Amino acid sequence: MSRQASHQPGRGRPRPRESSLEVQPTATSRRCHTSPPFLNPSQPVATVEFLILSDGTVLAHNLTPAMADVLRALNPDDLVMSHRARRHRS
Amino acid sequence: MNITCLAPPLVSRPALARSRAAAARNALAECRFCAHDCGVNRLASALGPCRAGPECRVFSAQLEAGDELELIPTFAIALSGCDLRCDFCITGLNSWSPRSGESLRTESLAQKAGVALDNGAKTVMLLGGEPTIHLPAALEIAAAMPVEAKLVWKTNAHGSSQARELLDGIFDVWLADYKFGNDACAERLADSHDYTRILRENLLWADTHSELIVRHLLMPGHLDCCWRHVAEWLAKELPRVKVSLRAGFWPAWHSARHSELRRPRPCGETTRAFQLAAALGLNLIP
Repeated sequence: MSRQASHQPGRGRPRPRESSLEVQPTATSRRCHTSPPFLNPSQPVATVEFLILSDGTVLAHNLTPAMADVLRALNPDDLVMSHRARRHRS
Repeated sequence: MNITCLAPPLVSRPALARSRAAAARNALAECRFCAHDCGVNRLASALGPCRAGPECRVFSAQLEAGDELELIPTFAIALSGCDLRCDFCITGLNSWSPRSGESLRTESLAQKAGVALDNGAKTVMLLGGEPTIHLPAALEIAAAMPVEAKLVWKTNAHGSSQARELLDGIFDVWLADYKFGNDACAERLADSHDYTRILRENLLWADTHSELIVRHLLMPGHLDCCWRHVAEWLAKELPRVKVSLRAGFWPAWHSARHSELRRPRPCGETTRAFQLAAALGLNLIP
């Protein structure tokens, strides 16, 4: 999935990645999440990963509807993202 | 091991899935769910290529909107572990290690899925890793889902005939990855042997037993050796099948082991890939 955006999204501090997992980048990868166990019903957690390229392209993995809303707000001309965003989807 | 499966039309999906789950649990004693066909006794904690024991763990369960538009929003349940070893895997650690994540709690997942469906989710998707290696748990999850839920089986299509028999009639949609257009790339990038034959056998079966969406992730430098062969075969053998061409490759996990995979996909190759799909008349879906 390739999305245009001009903003580095994310809430909370990025979690450092293990060095063995890291690919020396041409861009920046961050995992944004909260810490409680995701299966705990009282503590809902969502995880999204982004890879932001030097040309401004934002690649997203495990995109949530909430984050699709954010990306759509950043670039309303992205029609595909509009279909993924909650507020626009019929 | 012979497995007797109830025919799909005779019973409801939850009942069918429960009976299949029990059969699948017994089959762990000589596991042949994937095409590695290793036959290890997972109930005795023997390990085959997937390294999975009898326990199923979950590394993600959340509402997602990044999949094919006709499937989203989907409540996606990702099971830890996989039978393939794709160096470019975007969920590498969780997919390569069946011990990642948390213990499966089926009731909790069913509750969360129910809430998601009540709030507008179109589907519930089981994925991995690779869910095929956890067939007993996957079928138990399917049994716990609301009867009206549309269930999606997201798979690497590297399963065995036994796995297909157990899955018959349970999932509404098979979302199958066709990753490599030739066996040499499959062997070099995923340590997979006889990939093409196995993959095609699964796709042809899925096309006649459920709704099928074939997904291909464009990889840098693999347009002609992989995508072209995938596209040409689909055009010839499954001309009406829905095809999802994904252009968002990023160099995750062990991609750096392969020089061509150290960069994201360049725009030029993406354009050519879509032109090829159009020229072949593929039924591309967003």
